[in-house]
Amino acid sequence: MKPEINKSMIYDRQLRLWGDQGQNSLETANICLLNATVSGTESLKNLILPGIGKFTIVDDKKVTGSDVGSNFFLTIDQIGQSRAKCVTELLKNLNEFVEADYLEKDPVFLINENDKFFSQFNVIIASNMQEKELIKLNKICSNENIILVSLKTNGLFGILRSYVPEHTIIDAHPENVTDYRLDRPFQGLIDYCKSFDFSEMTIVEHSHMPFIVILYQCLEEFKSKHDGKMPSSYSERNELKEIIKSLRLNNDEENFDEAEKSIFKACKPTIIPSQLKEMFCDIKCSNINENSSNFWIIINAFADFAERHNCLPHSGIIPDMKSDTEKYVELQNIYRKKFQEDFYEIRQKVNTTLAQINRPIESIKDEQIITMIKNGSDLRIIRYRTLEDEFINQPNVSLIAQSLNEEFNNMVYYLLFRAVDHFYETHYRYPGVDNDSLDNDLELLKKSVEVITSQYSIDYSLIPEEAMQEIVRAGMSEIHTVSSLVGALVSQEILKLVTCQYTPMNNTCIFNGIQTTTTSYDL
Amino acid sequence: MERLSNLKQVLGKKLFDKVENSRILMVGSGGIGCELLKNLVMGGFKNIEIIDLDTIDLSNLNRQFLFQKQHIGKSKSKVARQSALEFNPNVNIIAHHDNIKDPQFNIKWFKSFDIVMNALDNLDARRHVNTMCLAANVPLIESGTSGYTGQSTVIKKNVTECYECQPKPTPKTFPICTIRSTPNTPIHCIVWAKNYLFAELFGKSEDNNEINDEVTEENNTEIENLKKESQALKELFKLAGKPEYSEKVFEKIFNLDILRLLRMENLWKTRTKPKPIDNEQYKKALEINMEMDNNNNDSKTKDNQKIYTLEENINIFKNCFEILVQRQLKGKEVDPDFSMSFEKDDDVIMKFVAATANIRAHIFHIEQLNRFKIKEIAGNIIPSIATTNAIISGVIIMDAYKILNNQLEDCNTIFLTRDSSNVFVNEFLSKPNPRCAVCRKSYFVLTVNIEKFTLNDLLNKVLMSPKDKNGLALNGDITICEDQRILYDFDFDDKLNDTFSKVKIEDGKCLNVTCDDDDKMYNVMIYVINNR
Repeated sequence: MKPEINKSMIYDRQLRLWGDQGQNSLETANICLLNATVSGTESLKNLILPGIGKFTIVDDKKVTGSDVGSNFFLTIDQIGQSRAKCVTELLKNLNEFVEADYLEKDPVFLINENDKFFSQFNVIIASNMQEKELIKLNKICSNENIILVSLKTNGLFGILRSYVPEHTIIDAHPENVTDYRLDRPFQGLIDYCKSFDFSEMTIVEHSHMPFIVILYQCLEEFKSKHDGKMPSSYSERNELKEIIKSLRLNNDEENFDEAEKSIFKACKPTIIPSQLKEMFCDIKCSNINENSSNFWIIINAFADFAERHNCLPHSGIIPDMKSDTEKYVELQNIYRKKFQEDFYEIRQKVNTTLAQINRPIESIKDEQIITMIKNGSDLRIIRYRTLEDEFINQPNVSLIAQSLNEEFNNMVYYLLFRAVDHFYETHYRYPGVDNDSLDNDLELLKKSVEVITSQYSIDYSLIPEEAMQEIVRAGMSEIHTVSSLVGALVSQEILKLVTCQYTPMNNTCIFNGIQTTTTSYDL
Repeated sequence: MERLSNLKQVLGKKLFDKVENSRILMVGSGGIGCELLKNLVMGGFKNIEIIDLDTIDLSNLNRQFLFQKQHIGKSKSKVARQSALEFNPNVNIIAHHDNIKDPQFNIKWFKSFDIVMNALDNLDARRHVNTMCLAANVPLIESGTSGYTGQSTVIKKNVTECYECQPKPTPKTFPICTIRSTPNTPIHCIVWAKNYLFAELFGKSEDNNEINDEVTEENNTEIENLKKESQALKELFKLAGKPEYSEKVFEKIFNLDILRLLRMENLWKTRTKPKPIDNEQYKKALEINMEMDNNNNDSKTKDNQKIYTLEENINIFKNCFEILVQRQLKGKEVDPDFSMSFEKDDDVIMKFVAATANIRAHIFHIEQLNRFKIKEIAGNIIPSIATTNAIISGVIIMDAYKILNNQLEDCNTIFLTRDSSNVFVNEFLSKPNPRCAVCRKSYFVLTVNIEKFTLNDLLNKVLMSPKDKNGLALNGDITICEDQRILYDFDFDDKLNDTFSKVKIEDGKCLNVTCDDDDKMYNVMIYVINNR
């Protein structure tokens, strides 16, 4: 009898990273890999293990000796068989919950002749594809709302590039949230903080008063001397520090240490972060209709809230602090109550909106709203630049030129990857594949580099000769470790993009295996 | 076309040959280990030894891709070897299903490797391998991952910082009185359930490193009382197997012990009093009908996310307690010293700990947590995924290539960050910390016949003997220790004429010698190899 295998036990260690929402998103992901290169295979492996819904490999090549030498999942007896089929069958065994499929077709053919094929997927991993086809594929992804990550490796170097028409980050997992609202305390907080008199406390009580109460009272004193204004300069913050010090009974009071350390954060005015303001002005926020996503409906409610209160809803979270349990719990409850009130307002607005567009209230769950409130100031949308913009319409020339002037920069390799593509377009082969024509290929590659650098009006001499030699020497071959590492970087990004959690890269990353460095560029 | 010709082309023939001829030790074959072993066999390495004492668990399968569900319960190192060879038969892999701290893995063995790679998950083993590599003067690549982040660095004696050059954060412990008498956070209740209750009932109560039971002036009477309390709980064991056992244990821990605390009135002057649960409440709770699922396969994540009512928790307590008692009695039939240790992935144990922690939280008016969260806290679970392990394993191989190419100093400490605009943060390797108590020591290997060689021989023929006679020429007050045990010092020379084997200094043991010559303290480590 087959033992019943339980998903939540297998996935336990990752559920602690991205939770049920992340796992559900992952399990509905339908991923297509174009070309089962080593890096492509490895990136798929890392996505199959945590349990994506389905994958499909598109590849028309046959397994070769060098595939077997660099792809862990291929064996010598498979040489000559379909690469798509062999890799699919081996990867399928990694996780019984993942559906697997393959298609023995040239991805270039599909892109040119059958673009409808791609609409079934929500992620495409394009491995070792040429710029021309990538631009076309990007258009398909843009129309069909598909995540596209392209990658290439060449010897010790690798490049990956993400594209999503519109990516929303709903849970950035901020590392420390501090929202005390001491610059504009709400009634519950005021009443609580005012209820204590430091001059009438026992020593024990005094040293267990939460620092928020200390800060509140000291700020009140400060404000009474400064026309009700908060400290806004270094000297004013120092003045506040002196007030706190004067309230101390001795130097051992850790709660007072915490109060002093929190001065800067507490004096920072409560604001609406600029990226949220931008979102509030976005047409997708103001123009809610039947097609609007849950994300935008909730953002719309945030905008409505911000208009009335000039701040974001409170997360209800306060950090751990020196205090006795009772007061800490009381303070926690005060902030939680504030959160509940704010949540209620947002929920009401969301309900009204849903009614207007004829969607059931249950279509947006409380949890989704709560997650967004807890992430308030870290919510983000990223609209990735298209490859057509990057290569043709609006290349980011200033960034490229500026980066090339840095010592040990990896921009050189970005340009070399482009030059290798140009080489391929011109000569229908990669530089360095034939060991007998290395010198000749180096000369031809230099010509391609000149073409690329002139597109950006960049000085050709900024590309070191050794770097070009390295590229020719590698001959577009894949070595396992580099491909595995670059493949893993790709899957790491796809996890962030699919779960809408953490902050993904925008938009290009170069891996340099000589120095073991990475550099990200917004190209 | 030759299989590894790409690799040869990229690395160059010279380095490629060095890689092929090198001997690599990989310590640990879990998350990083699986990825690393794959990279090693694909990266041109031909002679690999791997060691891991662990067996495969269901929760490994989301990332440790060399393992599949038919391997559950089997040795990690052996299965990793077998899976790697299936795809790549042309490599020599030796797998040890053992603890790296076993004496057979002595200094001579460590010296036989060109590079040691750590793929470990605990401080203790990392420290051990660090010391062994320093003593054997073998480069060590040290690494670790947690969630989306990870790091890797290179350690070489006299060249770089060692693993202990910078102090490591010590694991948090809790004062015994907080845990046993005055808990005020959910964590206190979890530590109580796991490290006190479960350990006292089913385990060995000695292995308790999370509770700090240091006796001070203020707590000595209370600690005495707490000892009596534990003793009384142990005595209930005579009822094990009888129907009233669970009820008596419940009464003891959730009623009588709480009543005793309540009598200590000074405890409750500034705290809210706990509310004991009496027998009537217990019996009433058991009247509700609750479906139990103990097949270790309840696939409902929801159950793990749920906060149970007190009545439900009491039912879970009784159900799990009785299963654990059955296990215990069966175990003791075979071995009277049988004991269980806390295992986070054992569903019954986890449910027992979660239910009792939450009942205690209820009594002390503390927030209850769901089982998912309690498991994370009780099991010190570090989230773990394949991608991060794969990235770090890639970095380890890149470092290994550099080390074999005599470019060790070009390696960096690399941090894999959550910040996508700076995926890797590279730092130069630091120089050794001149005050490091581990890597600033001198290490020596002593090969002798332990049946014949005496402590006196060590003192006179090795430690104090002049340098031209291959001695260490130490001059001053000498102390010789093995672990915590003193074998010789100025005032204690009774054992001088004993042979090594008589004082149990066997093959693989390590002696710690200090020499105080008024101005300076010398510290020397001597690794013993038995030469029969």
